[in-house]
Parts: sequence; C-alpha cells; structure tokens
Amino acid sequence: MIPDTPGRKDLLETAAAALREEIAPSLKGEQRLTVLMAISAIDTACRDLEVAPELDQIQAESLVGLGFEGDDPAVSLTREIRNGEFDKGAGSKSLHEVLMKDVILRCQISNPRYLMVAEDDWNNRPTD
Amino acid sequence: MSSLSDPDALKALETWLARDWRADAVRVSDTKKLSGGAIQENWAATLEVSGGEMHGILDTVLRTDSPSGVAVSHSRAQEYLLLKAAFEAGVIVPEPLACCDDLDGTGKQVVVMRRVTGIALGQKVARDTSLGGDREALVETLGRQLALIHSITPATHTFPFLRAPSADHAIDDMYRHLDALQQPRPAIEWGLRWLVNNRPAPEEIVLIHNDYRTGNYMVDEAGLTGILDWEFADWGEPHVDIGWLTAMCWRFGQRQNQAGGVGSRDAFYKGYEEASGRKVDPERVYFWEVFAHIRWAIIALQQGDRFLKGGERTLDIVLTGRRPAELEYEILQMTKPGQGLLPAQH
Repeated sequence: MIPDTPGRKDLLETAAAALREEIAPSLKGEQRLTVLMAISAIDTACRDLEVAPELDQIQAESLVGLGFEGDDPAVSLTREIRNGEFDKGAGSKSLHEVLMKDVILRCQISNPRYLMVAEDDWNNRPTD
Repeated sequence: MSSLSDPDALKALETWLARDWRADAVRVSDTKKLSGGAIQENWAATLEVSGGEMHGILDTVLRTDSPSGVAVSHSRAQEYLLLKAAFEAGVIVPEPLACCDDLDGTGKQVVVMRRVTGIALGQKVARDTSLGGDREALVETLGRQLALIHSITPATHTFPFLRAPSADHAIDDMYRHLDALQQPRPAIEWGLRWLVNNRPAPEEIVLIHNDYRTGNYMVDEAGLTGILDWEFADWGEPHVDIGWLTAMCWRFGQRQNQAGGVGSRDAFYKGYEEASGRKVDPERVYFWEVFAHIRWAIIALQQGDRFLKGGERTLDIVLTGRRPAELEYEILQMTKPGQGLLPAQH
C-alpha cells in the first residue's frame, strides 16, 4: 500500500497559504490577530512534521552520549543537573553544547524567525 | 458561576454598591467585555450613582474571575488591597473604588476601578513609537513608578494573605512549579542550577509588582496612564522587578530597546535611582534577567499543561505552550559553562 497524496504537509501548507493570502488581508483588529495566530500554528505543525524524526533521533542519541540510558534518561539527567553533577569541568561543557543543539532545533520548529534574529544578536556581541 | 453578562448579577452588584457607597441608587449600564485575560474578565461599565459621596457618573472597569478561571494568583479582593496600597503610595494606577467580596451569596468577587484610557498591548506599545509620548521619558517614568511601589515595605504595610517576607521564595517557587509539571526540562534545570550557584546576597524586601513589564501598563499618546495587573504582587527583592522589565523576553522583538522594548536601560535606571535613593546593581539585574526567562518558560509550560489537561483550548494558549524553546535559547546563552554574573548591558 502507499499513502494517499497530496500528503499532510501539502494539506497544511495550502490551508495556511489560503488564510494568509485570501483571508488575513481583509481583516482588522482581533479577527486579524486570530487568523495570524492560526497561520502560525499551522506553520509550526508543518515544520514539526518535517523536523520531528530527526529531533527524536538526536535527542535519544544525546542522552546516550551523556551516559543516560534506560527507562527515563531525561529524568535522570535533570536530577543530576539539579544535584550539581554538571556544575564544572568537561561534563559541564559537553552538556551545554548538547542542550544548545537541542534548543536550536526546537526553535527552528517553534519560531525560526526569532532564532535567526537572536543568533545574529548573540554572535555579534563583543566577547566579555 | 454567573458572569457579569447576567442581568441578575448586575442587579445584585447595583444593590451591593448602593449600600457600600451609602447612595440612594446605583445603575450599571453600557457594560462591554474588554479583551485579554484568560483568568479574569474585565468589563467597561458606566455607573450612575444617585446620592452619597460618590454621586455622579463614573466610568469604570469591573474586574471579576472568569467562570473557567483557575486560582493561580491572588483573589480579586486581595488584588484590590494591593491596588489600594499602590494608589495611596502615589503610583499611577486605575483608582480602586469598591470591592464586593461576595456577590449575592455566589462567592463571586467584583472589583470596581475607575477606567483608565490608553493601550496596554505589549506588541503595539513596543512597536508603535507614536504611543507613550517621548519614549525615554516613558521608561524614566516607569523607573520612578517602580520606586514608589518599592516604597511599600513590611515595615509600612501588612498584607495577611501574603507569605512572610523571605528572599528564599523566588528560586524555591520555580523548582516547586517545575516539579509539579512532572516533565523533565534539562535546559531549565541548567538555568536554575546557574541561579543557585550565582545567587547574590539577598537585599531588603519590599512590595514587588512581580509582573512589571510592557503589556501590563497602559499608555496614551502623551505617556503612562496606568499600571495594571497586580495579581502577582508579593514581598520580594527590588531587582526582581527591574530584571523582569529589562529581560529580553519582554521586549516584544525590539531587542535594542533594553527597557521593555521601549527605551534605554539608562533612562529606566535613572528614574528608579532618583526616586528610590537605591543604586541599580547591573550584576543583580543580570541575575534576575536569567530568572525572568526561567520564570516565563515555566509559566508557558504551565499553560501548555493546562491546555493538554482540559483547560481552555485557545490559539493563544496553544502557541504559548511552544514558547519555552526560544526562552531556553536565551537562558543557555546567558549561562555559558563556567560563566558567572556579568553586568546586564545587552
């Protein structure tokens, strides 16, 4: 069997485009805001569909890389952070790198425009 | 529970107000629900008061809990007492006029405030430079106003419904709220751990507004018209409020305008320092800016959690549930490995 096409991403993208091009321009005030938020929700869902498989894999690999396996590796990780196990040294650096990578991927789903501006800001600050 | 759209509820309010103000009669008309507020409802209303001290026509806002409201903040009656203290301290707020603490035996609380005109919407206030008058003057005024709020202290006031003043609450509360969500959030844990390791010595405790940011004050073309949303006010350290207003997460995309997305840090600090006699400590501000991102991330998680567990399913809330990623990005940038406090300057 093969999945029906057009696929879910096609459906969502077309719905967002129709709202963006045909509906939003004629609205004002709160109604316009509502439609813009609806578009944003659909766009986020689209990006989520695209990035989710990669993100799941990276998150699982990151936890293994930090030495967390078993039933609830993320719970064990948060417990150790709270207990100060990652306060210093190489462990601290590698955890920060892994967290940053994860957060950047998640921002690319939830708010890529924000991420672009924020990264530009942080990358252009003089080092203290 | 009845809403203020219910004629019986309005009738009960009229009777209650007439008694409270020793008036012959009070008539409520032109009620119109105002936008914003998932937990509280705000209604614009005209009150015609015959007789007594309040005799005349009053333009008011009636504030009450929405029927689906969740009790996560102060009750309306408690908020009224805080608002009253602020008004008496000279803070620019909507004048509190009355508080009915049990409408017609329903337990519903209604606060009556004088209506303030202007716009509060954060996005709009941050972006539309025709609002708020001179923007540097506006943030300086915000500094001065904050100093007036901070003039209310445990030595001058008692609020029986607030916890005993303590500098320990801030971080403890964040851990408690995070644990209640039962979701592992490594980036937030990282940030919290940084707070624990970099906590400056506690300073004096004052009344903090605790949600002092763009979006929670109203402006017109000339300047500030009112400081709103007192439901989180609490005893705390002065720099909590300063760092909340200057934090990146409350600049509504205007990253360069470090005071609330509106004006400069210097003007805001200047107003605060002149009116309070306290010095703003840029490293403390940095600490509370990190805290601000963590607190907002946890609030966003709470909203997402409420959505999932059968709370209000609105677009606003579902999108807020996805906000933590960008907040975590700023948290991680501000708390690089081995890095301690820095002066807040970006």
